[in-house]
Amino acid sequence: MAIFIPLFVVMACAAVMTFIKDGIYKDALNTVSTLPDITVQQTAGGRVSYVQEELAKEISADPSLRKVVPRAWGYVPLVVPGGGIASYTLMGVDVGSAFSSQDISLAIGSGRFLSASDKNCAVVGKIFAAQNKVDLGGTILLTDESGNETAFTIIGIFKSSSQIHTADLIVTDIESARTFLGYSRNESSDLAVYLKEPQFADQVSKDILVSRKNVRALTKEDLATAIKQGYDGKAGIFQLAWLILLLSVLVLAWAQASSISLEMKKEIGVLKAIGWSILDIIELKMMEVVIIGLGGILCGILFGMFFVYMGAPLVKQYFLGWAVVYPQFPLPISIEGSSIFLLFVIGLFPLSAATIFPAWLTGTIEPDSAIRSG
Amino acid sequence: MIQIRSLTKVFKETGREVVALCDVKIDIQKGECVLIGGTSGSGKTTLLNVVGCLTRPTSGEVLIDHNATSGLPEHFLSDLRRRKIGFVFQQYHLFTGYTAIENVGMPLVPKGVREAERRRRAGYLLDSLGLHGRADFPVNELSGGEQQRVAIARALINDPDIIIADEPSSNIDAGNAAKIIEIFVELIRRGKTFLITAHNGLLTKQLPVTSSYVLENGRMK
Repeated sequence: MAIFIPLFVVMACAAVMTFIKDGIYKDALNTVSTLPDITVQQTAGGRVSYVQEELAKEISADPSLRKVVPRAWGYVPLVVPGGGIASYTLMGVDVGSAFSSQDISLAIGSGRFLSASDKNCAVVGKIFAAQNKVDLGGTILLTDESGNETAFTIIGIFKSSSQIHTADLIVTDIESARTFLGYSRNESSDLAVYLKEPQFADQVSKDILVSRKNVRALTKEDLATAIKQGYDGKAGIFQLAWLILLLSVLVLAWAQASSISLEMKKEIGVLKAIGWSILDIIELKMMEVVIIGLGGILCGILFGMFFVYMGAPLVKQYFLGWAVVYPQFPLPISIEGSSIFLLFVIGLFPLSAATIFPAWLTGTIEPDSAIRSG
Repeated sequence: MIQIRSLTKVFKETGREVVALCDVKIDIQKGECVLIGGTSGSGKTTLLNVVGCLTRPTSGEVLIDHNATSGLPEHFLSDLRRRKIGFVFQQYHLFTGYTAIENVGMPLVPKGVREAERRRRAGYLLDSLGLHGRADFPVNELSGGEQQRVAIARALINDPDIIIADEPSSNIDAGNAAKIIEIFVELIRRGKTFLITAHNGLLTKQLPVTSSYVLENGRMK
């Protein structure tokens, strides 16, 4: 019974870790779904440079492409409610090239997406709108690097399952973005390339690279790998925490095994003396560990669920990572059946082994010896 | 019923051998009450443990109902202990954290007896041993005499033919010892075979002992 409280604490920590990790990972996967099949960048001296209009025209000539969308990216500092400055992403897309919100897998929750005639209009994430207290028809005032202010009218709000992707995102038309970010008329940050047959992205990216110099072509898969690694590992925090928690479970299991050898030997000897067989004893120990173990694990998981639904106070910022420059948004959480199963396995298996094995070992010695040594 | 033939038990402790029993021979018939006497460390408890199949002899043999026990595999011994032998330990060896009635019903668990039936049978035994009203008390809240009676009830729950009692009155006061003797007398009258150790004279005087032996340094005197 003494194992219950430490097991509860360890499993609560493991559950919190798992639910946050799953949430962030799921969010990362949602971000991946917003990526184009290929992202083409121009380089100069090995560094990313502005993409010229000629490159977009050249690449667009390839018949295997569905469309090539020039994009202008930049970062905009904005005072967040409650103080501090957060860095938001301004993405200008060429709406004239038939770009739609579906291309970045972001459904519109309210309002509409940009049309070709929209100038200085913006579509923002739900959290952005809530935090900056703007709604449809409202305006946000953005300040460029020269200190000039530009007002953007909110015409749409994303209904996204990807909090990380849309929390800092302001989507506008490419011309407005170019003007605001100081790009010249024919320049863009990169080209979002959409293929007729996305499964051939590797081959098409190779073709783009073979025929051109100073160009970088990144497939969705390349970027997905980078994003997943970044989120999944989260700078090693998850791995480290998992290692600590796993070690904690093993230490608990060891403590359990030790307590059996000291305290339970006599009990096992007496049980054998009154007619219990080794199998009866193992069955009893199994039931004990399952009841206590399941109880501790279940309470830990339930507490973990409660904790993450309360917003994971104290630990949230550690998992969001770069929150010093990032807007505030709720920690994404996800509670998967497979993760809960994994938590039960991780909690129960070492504990069961640490209980059953010593019980069996003690059960094999003579009752007289077991009673005397206990 | 029980034949003890040239029984020897040697313990190996920190590299040296300690002879606990040497060439012990006793025949016990069904319904007999055999008393084993001797000073502390003379080998009385070891003899009971070997006869009760709690440990195997180094040499010699114990036969119960003409069946040799020393060579039996462990699961047969468990079965034998459950069916034939009821053990009353000097230190009671009850399971703390459980109630008196749960302790008494414990030997019935491996037989698959349902809890209600276990409670019924254990309750009946506790009542008959004068523990009415104490059944649902945790055993650590009972007095020494009550704990010993719980231990006796546990030994009797499977209705064994043989009762092995190791110093059953040594840790309790005279009043409780008298009650236990009374219980034993009744059981002997009903035909149970008793093998009891004692180093004081109270049991010797009041029990209908059919034969008694004295051990000294593991040998029969």
